[in-house]
Amino acid sequence: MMLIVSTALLGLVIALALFFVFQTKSKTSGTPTILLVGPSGSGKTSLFNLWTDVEADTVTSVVPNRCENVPLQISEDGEDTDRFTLVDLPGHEKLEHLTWAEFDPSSNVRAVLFVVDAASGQQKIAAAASQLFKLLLRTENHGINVLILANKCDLFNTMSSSRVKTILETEIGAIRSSKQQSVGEAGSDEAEERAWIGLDGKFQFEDLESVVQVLDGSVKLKKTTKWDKWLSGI
Amino acid sequence: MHRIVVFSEGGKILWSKETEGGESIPNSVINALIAKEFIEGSKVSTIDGYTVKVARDHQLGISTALIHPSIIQVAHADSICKDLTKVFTSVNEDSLRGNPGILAPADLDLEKFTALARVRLQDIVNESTPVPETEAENTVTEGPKRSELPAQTKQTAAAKAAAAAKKMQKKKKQQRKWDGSEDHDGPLDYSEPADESTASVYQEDVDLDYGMQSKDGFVVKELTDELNNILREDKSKNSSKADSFSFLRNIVGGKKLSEKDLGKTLSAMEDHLVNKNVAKEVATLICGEIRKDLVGRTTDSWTSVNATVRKSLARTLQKILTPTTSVDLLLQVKRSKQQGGRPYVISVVGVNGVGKSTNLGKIAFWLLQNKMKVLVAACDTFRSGAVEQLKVHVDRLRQLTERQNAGEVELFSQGYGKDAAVIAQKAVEYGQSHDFDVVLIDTAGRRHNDERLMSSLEKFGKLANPDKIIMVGEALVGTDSVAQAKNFDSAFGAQRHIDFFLISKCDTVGDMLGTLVNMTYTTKIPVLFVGVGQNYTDLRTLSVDWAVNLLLE
Ligand SMILES: Nc1nc2c(ncn2[C@@H]2O[C@H](COP(=O)(O)OP(=O)(O)OP(=O)(O)O)[C@@H](O)[C@H]2O)c(=O)[nH]1
Ligand SMILES: Nc1nc2c(ncn2[C@@H]2O[C@H](COP(=O)(O)OP(=O)(O)OP(=O)(O)O)[C@@H](O)[C@H]2O)c(=O)[nH]1
Ligand SMILES: [Mg+2]
Ligand SMILES: [Mg+2]
Repeated sequence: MMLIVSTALLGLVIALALFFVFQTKSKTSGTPTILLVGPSGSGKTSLFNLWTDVEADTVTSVVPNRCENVPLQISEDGEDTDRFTLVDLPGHEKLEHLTWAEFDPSSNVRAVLFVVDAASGQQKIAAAASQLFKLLLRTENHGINVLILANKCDLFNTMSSSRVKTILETEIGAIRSSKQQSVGEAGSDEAEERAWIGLDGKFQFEDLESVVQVLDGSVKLKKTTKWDKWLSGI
Repeated sequence: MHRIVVFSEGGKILWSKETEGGESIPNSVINALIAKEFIEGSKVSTIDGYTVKVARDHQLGISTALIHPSIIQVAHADSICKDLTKVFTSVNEDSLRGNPGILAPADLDLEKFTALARVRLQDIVNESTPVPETEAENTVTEGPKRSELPAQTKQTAAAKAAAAAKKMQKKKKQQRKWDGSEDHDGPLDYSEPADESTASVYQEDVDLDYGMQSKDGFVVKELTDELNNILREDKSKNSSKADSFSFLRNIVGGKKLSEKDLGKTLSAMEDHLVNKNVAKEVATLICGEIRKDLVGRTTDSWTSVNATVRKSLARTLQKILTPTTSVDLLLQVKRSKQQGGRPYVISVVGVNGVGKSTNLGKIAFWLLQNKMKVLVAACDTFRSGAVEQLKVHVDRLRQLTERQNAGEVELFSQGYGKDAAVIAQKAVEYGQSHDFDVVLIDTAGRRHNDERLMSSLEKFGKLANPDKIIMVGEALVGTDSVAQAKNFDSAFGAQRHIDFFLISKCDTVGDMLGTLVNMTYTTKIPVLFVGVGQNYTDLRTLSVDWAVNLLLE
């Protein structure tokens, strides 16, 4: 009898203890978060490593990398700035649901960094537009700013950020109108309503409600000043 | 000539070693390996002329890959990968149990691992070159010498090696007797010139002055003992320790999942999937993947075993149903229209009565709405009434589009009995000369095990050369869909595959969408459209979330 009672009591105490431990843990999930999104091989994990002080070569990611309390903003007077949870998401299309899961209501996404390989050629960059389009549908909904990182500007065949911007805008324009004319998605009625972003006419990032910009840099050369500045402004 | 890489699921290379000499093996090979095996779920053994082997520890998220040019052989590559993964995780277990996001090679005990790995690899040499001292020395000097040769002279080196190969043959056979292994990577082709490097490959890696003390100051004897201990250790044993609060942990989370915990839930999940029309074999495989993914993991806070398994199932289904590259069919048709030239050719194939003609009509309607000029080709020259049925569709579509001032539609038919492939070819030619944007080809229904009719598809694919081949399957069919998808996909020859599926009659099955899973899982081909009724507007693109939710319900 004693044994049963004491076991039950002990169990209760442990349950309560665990409760508090997890309580505090689940709170941290609401910390301001920056997401690294973009096609496979664009340099997301490399950038994640750079910003979290890890030296490692990279291969294709299968799961996200997550790091808390990353100082991403540089203040001129050296004062303590906000820290962020940085999340590096796999770029493979089959894993895109991992990215969309980051936009659930309990999360606190402050900005999305969409990384593209500016040296991968017109076709690859255009192909990235379909992922970017799906991303923008979500960020526009939540008022989240997006920075497009034209990475690998160290390579000889790299494209300028304005060229990357033009390619992406043209492609998104085409996708946007084709989505408008596509047969609807199974199981949703307001698909068509959701699928529109920007204003009528030519698609431009400037017409979006959130800030969407393209800036170049190179993870390899640690040339990230433009991106750092943008982050300090959010 | 070979490279061994240890990497995390997050994509960080934690350890990499390549034998000197020869061209270095690029990361792109590992990337392709990860994409194929870990993400797309297909098995690969060679990539770009390299043979690849990988062993993955799901629990700690660590994998070891061994890559070497396919022209040489490496014995026991499988067990090397497995053992090295085990050694790596054992040496670094504490660090690996932390957040993998902040994992850094600098925080790991790589020296220790390197030392143990050397011993493990040397073991292979001892095992597979049980030749007397003098001969062993021969092999040792041979390896590095050859790999020092510049690329241009490789050819002649290979020729020389071929001459030596005969001599090697004897030695090889003897070797096989000693190692007694059957798990070689390929057929043992003794005449293959590069073959003899099997043994020498590892010699390159091993220090010749391996005495009692290794370079790093580890004592070899001790290392060997430690290695053996690690490899002998059975991980599953520690995890089966009784947990007196397991009943509570099932509620508050933090429970370490064992095979036993998962067994019941998983077999319930399997039944659940089968009830949703997922084929038994597919359901078993999916649950097997979930088991691998979850065994040894700890449940999240406030998550029961049941909920954990459901979450993992949801993730797995998402992965299966999401296409590797998304297709925007209309965009592709529009682009082809802009370029002019040949019209965009789409053809539907499938078993009898699944809804090929009806859904071809739906696709035509959608393209007409987008002001396309569409030619519908009646290439079902087999079933009586098929041409007339299509004519009714085309007439109705014409009426509808004229009223709406949409595109133009026309029927191309040449009656019955003739070779469908030839008619299809003519239809495409006609379409091109008359400025059609799209040619939609209807074909005869055929049983997937009717060899005669199935074999005619290859010729059809060659002559009509469709931009897209759509296989129509019906949601009702269930288990048979696995064989249907496989056979149709292979019917067009080795070079041509089905581009995507259209699953019809989804309106008639409620939440029993198992056919979608069966077909995509077995072929890795995505479902683009689902048919949801008999009207022209009853065509939808697949929403993966929608399907996954219904399947989990
Ligand atoms: N030249 C150059 N190479 C870079 C740069 N940034 C990254 N890379 C290389 O690009 C390759 C891919 O980088 P990752 O960081 O693994 O790419 P990822 O975006 O994480 O890819 P996934 O995980 O597949 O989504 C690696 O070989 C990097 O070394 C850069 O600025 N310049
Ligand atoms: N409820 C429902 N019925 C459909 C759907 N698609 C097709 N059907 C019906 O299925 C039946 C067969 O359709 P067909 O288009 O003639 O099938 P088929 O594959 O061309 O048949 P064969 O040419 O004889 O091989 C017709 O009665 C269609 O109306 C769908 O999405 N939902
Ligand atoms: Mg990555
Ligand atoms: Mg038909």
